[in-house]
Amino acid sequence: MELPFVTPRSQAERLEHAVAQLMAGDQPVADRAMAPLLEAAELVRAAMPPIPVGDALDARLLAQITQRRRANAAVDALEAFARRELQHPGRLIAAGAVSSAAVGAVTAVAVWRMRRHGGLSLRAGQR
Amino acid sequence: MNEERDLDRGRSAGSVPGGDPDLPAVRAAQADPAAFASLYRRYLDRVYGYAFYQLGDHHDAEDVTERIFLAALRALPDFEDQGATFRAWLFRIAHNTIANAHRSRARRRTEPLPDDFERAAPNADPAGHVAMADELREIRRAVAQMPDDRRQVILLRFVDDLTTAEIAAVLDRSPGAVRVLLHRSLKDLAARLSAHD
Repeated sequence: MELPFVTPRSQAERLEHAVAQLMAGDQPVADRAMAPLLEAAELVRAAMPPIPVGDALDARLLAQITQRRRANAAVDALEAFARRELQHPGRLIAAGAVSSAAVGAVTAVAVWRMRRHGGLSLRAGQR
Repeated sequence: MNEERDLDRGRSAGSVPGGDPDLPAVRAAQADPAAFASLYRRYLDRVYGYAFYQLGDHHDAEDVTERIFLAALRALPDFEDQGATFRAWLFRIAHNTIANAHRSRARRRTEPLPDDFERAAPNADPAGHVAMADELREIRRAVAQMPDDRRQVILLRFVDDLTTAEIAAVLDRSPGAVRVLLHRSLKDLAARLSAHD
């Protein structure tokens, strides 16, 4: 009878298998040569536990994530607005014209008020 | 080399059996960034631990952890399920951010790590506790003094519990190369620890 061909596993692959058993909390099946390596792995796990993060960092990071989320939402809204407007070039031109007129009007009023105040103070100075 | 090539056949980098357990949360966070908070909660301690054990300083680790999560949040819309898991992707960002921190500070931390996170030994006698603390400190020192790639593979496997395939995705190596690296790293560590004894 012909035996099935089994690829011999390398040392590294056998170690990986034993480490996976160790990490799963099982007793690893290992030869004598592998024992000190698995012992070193267990020592690392004991010496380097997960470190709980301080409350200050947690609060700061969560605030930043939330803030970024708000900023992203604002950018998304702006993008959506621009996309909507670009679909209707007529509306975009009209909006541009209206906003330009508004800016022009505000500037004209500011200049007029500046001149008026300048004139008044000049006359007051002459008296 | 043949060994590595043989081991890599038919295995995708960064995958885990049964698929990526974080994928539903990732999809939710891509649709609504508010959902990123759950992924952040899940990985905060692990990413912080990885940074701390690499840098050996709480302040530096906090700074780097902050940068890692903000970078992940920025890049999340680009994350695609192409074999690599979310945690492999996140730890790759962590790995690159920590490498940049190392480069920008142009120094290598090999001093003993602080012990303020050390696990308490309940009901231990003071002498026994001191001996145990010394032993744990020696192990951390031995890991800190290992070459970068060996230290990284030890931390990713035994502290962060990443699979071989995930470590391969983080370190941009083949799974076979990671298996060989892990074998060498454990041999190196065992030798360092026995030299100390």
